[in-house]
Amino acid sequence: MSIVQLNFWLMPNGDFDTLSAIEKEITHFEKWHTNIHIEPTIIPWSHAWDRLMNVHKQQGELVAPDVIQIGTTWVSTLNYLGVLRDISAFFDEDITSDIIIPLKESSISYETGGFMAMPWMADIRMLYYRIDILRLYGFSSRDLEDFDSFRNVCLVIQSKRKSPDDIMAFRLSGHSEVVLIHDLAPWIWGMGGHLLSANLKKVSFDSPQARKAIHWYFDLVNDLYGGKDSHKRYGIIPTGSFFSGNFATEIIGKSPLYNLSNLKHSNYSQEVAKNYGVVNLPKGPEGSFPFIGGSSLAVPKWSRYPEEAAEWIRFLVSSESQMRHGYRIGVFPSRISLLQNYFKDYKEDYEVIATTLKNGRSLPYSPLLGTLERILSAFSDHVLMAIRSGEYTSDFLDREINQAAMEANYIFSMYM
Amino acid sequence: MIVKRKKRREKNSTLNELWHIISHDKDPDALYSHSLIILSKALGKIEGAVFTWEPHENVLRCQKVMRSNVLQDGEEVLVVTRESPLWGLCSGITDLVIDRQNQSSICVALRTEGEFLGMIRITRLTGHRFSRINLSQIRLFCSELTVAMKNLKIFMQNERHVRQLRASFEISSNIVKSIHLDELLRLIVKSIVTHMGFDRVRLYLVDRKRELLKGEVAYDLRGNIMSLDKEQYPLKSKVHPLVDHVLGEGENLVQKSFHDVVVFVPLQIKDIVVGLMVVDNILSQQKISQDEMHTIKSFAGQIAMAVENARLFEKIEELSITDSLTGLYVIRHFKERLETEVYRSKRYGTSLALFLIDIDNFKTINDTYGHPVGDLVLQTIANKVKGILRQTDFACRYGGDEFMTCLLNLNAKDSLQLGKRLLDAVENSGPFLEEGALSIGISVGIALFPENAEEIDDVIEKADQALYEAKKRGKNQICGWWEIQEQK
Repeated sequence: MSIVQLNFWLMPNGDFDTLSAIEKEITHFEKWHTNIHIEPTIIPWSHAWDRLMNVHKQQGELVAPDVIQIGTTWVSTLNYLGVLRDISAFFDEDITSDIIIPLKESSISYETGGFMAMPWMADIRMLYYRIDILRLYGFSSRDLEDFDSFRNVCLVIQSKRKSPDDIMAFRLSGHSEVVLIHDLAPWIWGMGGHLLSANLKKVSFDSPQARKAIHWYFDLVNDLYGGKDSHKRYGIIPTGSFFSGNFATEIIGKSPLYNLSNLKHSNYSQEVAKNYGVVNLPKGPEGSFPFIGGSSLAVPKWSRYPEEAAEWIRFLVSSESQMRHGYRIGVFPSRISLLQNYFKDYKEDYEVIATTLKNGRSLPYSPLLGTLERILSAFSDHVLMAIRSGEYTSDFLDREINQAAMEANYIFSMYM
Repeated sequence: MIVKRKKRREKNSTLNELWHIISHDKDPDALYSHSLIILSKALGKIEGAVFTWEPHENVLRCQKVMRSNVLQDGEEVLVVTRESPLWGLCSGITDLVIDRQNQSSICVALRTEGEFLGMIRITRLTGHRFSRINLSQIRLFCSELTVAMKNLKIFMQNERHVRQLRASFEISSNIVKSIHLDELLRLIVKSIVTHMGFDRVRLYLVDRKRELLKGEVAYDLRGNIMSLDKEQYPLKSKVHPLVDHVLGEGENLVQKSFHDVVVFVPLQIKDIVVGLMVVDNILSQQKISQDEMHTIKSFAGQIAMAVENARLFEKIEELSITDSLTGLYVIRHFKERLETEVYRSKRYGTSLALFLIDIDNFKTINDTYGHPVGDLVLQTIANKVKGILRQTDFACRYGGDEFMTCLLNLNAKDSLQLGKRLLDAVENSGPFLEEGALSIGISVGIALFPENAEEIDDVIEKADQALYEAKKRGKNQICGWWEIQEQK
């Protein structure tokens, strides 16, 4: 019997050793699939897109993956570029109908209705906070319920800082010094705005509601971390994390529950493990609409062994594997039926996530999402730079929004 | 002692094998991985990272990292300023920097012939400092690695050039493969995407007569070919960014910010722009390199020339099948098409009507008012004839003042009605003279296929007989061949 080698490209999720975590799953899989060998390659998120494009455009000249992990927001673009194979035929209704709705929607080709990727891990954004810190300043979780009260909590905590080592109020999302599209989207949705127009042919993040939300968000960042004072600037640089005890609040889409209580991660703080709480994202005038995204698994068109690739994906999205892997690296499973089980020892957290699932939104399905991300990253980079240097003003932000909208609309006019 | 020597020999032989491998690595990823494996074998427990230098941004970008014997792609980016401890390394002042706080961590420059390619950072996990022998071993290794990196860089450049040459050759040969405009444009966009790997290529052509920039065809990475015929822009400044490129007004600020993913290439012969090619990597977000831009631009002249040739060919073809005065087909081409239609009618059991049209008193018009007026009359009637044709019908100038039409799926009754409409239209045309004295009329003879005759020449003959009958009836008349039969 000849052994098929599947090249599997995946990206690091959570703050854990992805390679050793996936190797455990590979061992489980290979025990029952003796004719398939999985060869994993860990690729940083920042390199993954380029590596994928290089393979797609120089097919046959580079080592190509047979299974790929991709961001759920990449599906539409990769589908448009002809990278993905329709994998509907490989999955039963009992799995596809169990996928968290916004993830399911972003995995389906608008042109053919076929499943182009199978959601694997869910990024369901909730607000984590330090119960002890809030209590110290006379606040409770109720003070995180809406935009204004949340802002007030942040400003008070920040104002009490005496030294650079003191806890900071709010950690900006992301791993680099930019605010990404899905970090900004919930504030825009909460104000009643949208990223794109209803027909998806234009951007609408320059509409009055969206503009108000962007102002609200960057005003908060400016009030917390603006100016040339170096210890204030630290908050913009995402070096610490909520779980390490550097911040009082953070919007997070994963949940290292078991790792936190077992303190398997060296950077996780015992203090946080004892004192953290979870609530839904603050409500804006129009409500609370958290972002739901995550990672999916896909079979590229050039995969040499599509059937074996689908078998590997079927294994990874099985209940057992999703639960094991999810706990190990602190991410949520993509299937509704598994979430309750995931939170079986954390009933209160489950109630929060259940509400988030009801109101959560994914980003609009557009092949230009990646380009929009690039434009908005450059935009936020400019704004954060101005905040750091103390040059941030309302007019400056408006000019930057106009510029970003003009650039994005130019690209949309070229494609849609 | 012997065991130690044996171990050292084994270690050296493994290292030699790895040395051999790195000098033959054809992939940077493999080269960096093998380098870190060699270092860890030579130095024991280390954390190693290979950085490459990006001079335009003054950054060292980590390509590969080895931690606890696990190799991963690096993500670290070090911005190097004059104040940075690594400045000396990048600027050539030194080839080695030892971390002041952690003496077991060093950075070594990868430099060859004065060119700084990057650095290797090695941290001993045991916490021991590096001995002099270690440092000289590392320096030696780094100089070998630098040569391998340089060679690989040259190899990759050559590979890229070969790929581009191959693409140029393929595209050039495709450009001359067709003389038919539609087919030519399809071949051009397809071969550019296929051989150069862009997300999409679009072609627009200038219609000088109508002062328009017209969308023609697009091809994308999925292999989809799309018509752009809905895109039409007046050739006026500031109407559309594409038009501004054709008019030579360059890029605006917004376009400039995407200059590395969208390239506009005017298709030009000498100073005349005949079209515009737009190449983009908007979705994949891969930067279009300077080399690629030059290659695309080098095709522009060839494409423009090929487009002009194809247009000329179409024009010549058009001229050879149409009558220059009336724009109707010449008899030869009309008969060719008629043969096809008759064949089709026989096969599918359909019918067609042949109209033979003659201008009444045309000789008198010519003799009285001169040839310019005669030509005007011919053109007017030709236009009226065109006016009754549906998309599938066709007509020709049959002789000096005669026209013939082939109208598909028309019965006796409908053809007489249509003939009457034509008669009325002609009667109401003009005036041809300033005084308005000239009125014109026509006679029409009609024969039906297959009802009146089953061969082409016979149908024409019968239409001629009908025309004669119409003339006999007193001009400005219409007659179907079956009417003559009924009279008998």
